[in-house]
Amino acid sequence: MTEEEQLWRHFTNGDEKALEELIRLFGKPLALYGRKMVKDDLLIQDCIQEVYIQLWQYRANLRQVTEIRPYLFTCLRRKLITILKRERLFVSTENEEELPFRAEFSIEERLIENETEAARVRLINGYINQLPKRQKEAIYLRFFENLSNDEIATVMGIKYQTATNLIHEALTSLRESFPNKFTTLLLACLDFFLY
Amino acid sequence: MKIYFDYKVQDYLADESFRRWVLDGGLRNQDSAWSRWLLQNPDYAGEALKARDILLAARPVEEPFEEGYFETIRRETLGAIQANRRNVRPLWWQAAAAVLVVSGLLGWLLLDKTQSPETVVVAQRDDVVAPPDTSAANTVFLQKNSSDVILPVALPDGSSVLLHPGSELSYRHTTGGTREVQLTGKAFFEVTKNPSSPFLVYSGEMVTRVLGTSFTVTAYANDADFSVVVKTGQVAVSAPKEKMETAAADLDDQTTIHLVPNEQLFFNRKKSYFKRKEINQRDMLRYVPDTRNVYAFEDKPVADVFRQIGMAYGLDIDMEESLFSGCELTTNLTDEPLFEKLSILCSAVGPSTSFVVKEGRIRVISKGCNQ
Repeated sequence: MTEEEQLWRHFTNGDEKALEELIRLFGKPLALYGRKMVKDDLLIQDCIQEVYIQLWQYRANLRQVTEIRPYLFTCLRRKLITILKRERLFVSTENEEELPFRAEFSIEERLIENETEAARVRLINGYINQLPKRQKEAIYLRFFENLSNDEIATVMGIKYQTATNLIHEALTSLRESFPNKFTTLLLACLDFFLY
Repeated sequence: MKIYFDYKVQDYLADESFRRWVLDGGLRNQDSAWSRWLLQNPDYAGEALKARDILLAARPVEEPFEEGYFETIRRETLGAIQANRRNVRPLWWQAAAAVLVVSGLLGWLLLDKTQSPETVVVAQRDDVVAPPDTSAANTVFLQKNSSDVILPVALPDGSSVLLHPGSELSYRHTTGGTREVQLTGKAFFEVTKNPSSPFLVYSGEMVTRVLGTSFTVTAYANDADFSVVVKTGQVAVSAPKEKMETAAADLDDQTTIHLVPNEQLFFNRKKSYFKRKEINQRDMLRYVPDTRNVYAFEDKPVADVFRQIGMAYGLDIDMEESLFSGCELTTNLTDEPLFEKLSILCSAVGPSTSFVVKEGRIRVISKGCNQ
């Protein structure tokens, strides 16, 4: 049994220390994920608390999980959707497909070696920030939260194949931004050095 | 390391050790395993370097969280589960109230149900806003307004309540760190900010939860609809279901409404149904005091300042006006609770100045300005 499985078992057995540990380990990733969908830290705080409190209430009925992170992410995402949906009842007419995902990416300036690289990375950065939001979300979960495609499908409430496709499409469009622009840039640089 | 010969961009990206290598400086660390491998296998470096470029172009932008943000999550979650452990909250209130009325166990409790309501507030600002004394945890504070005017009530945590006629409230500070009020009737609350100690108002089936804000709850026993109006800040209103679902998938099946200023929430008790609507300034003032004119005073006679505050809250403030003749005040107030405002003003007038709340009236006591 992995450490995570053990932690989960302690939690479902009603160990408050395990609950504290879950909060300590996953509070921040949850809050960061929540922020991508809702621009309201207090609301996110409330939702995270409710997720933990409700899991605690239902703990006797929870199945054993091997990966806790995707499980908690799923709970939080559903909770936020419910709240946004309810807002819709009263305020706007957004539908679930329009659940925002506002991840914003910047450039690791400190690791850029030279101007050529900077230009290339800026270009990619532009593409990443313009990805459709569901692709962005899949990428975020895959590469920044270490979820598997399977787990991403669960968290986002989509089919495994759809999740795989989202990541594939995102990377394909990033990849496609490479060769041509890459070459153009290289040529531009060469020109610069030749003349 | 054979496997890396099959690596494509996404495989590198998904590889935690690769990501760490990039963010630690990549090829700048020539001795690291990844650097050595790439230098030895330059033919395969193309995909790896594309992955590196993507990582360099994708640093998530994150604003820092407010200080204590995660500590609050921990405290409130643990507080809530510890409160749930008793699992008898509504009954608890009745039981506790009964015990108090019968035995009058708590000496500090200022109110005896047979007497007229009386609460004393000391003017030292620190006394009023001091964090709730933990030794007072689980003690109960009761107040009933059987008069026909609004009754100002100071809660032990420094929050102010305007209790409307025919209304009743009890307050306790739980061991879990929450401040809990049981309300029947109508009351305007100005809650002292204390992020680590949520303030909850229970009225019938409805729970209103806040951190530090001002709002009015209307929940008379015979009302078909309850209402909540927010003046400042944000509150969360819910109607917890008795029946707990068992699957985690149903976690979201909880009714919590987040309410902001200029909104009014109606709760239909029969159908357990919330309806939110915008509320205009005029209607708003039927629920909350109009304090727009009491935020800034410049060279204003002290007596006028107190009178104006009283008017804003719909209360009479008694004082010996002659003591303040020729005495002016310049001060800025924000949306602190009424009693905090009064404490600030009293301190500004002079060390001898304080106020008491007696028989539903506020009285300023003073030996004069700057004395």
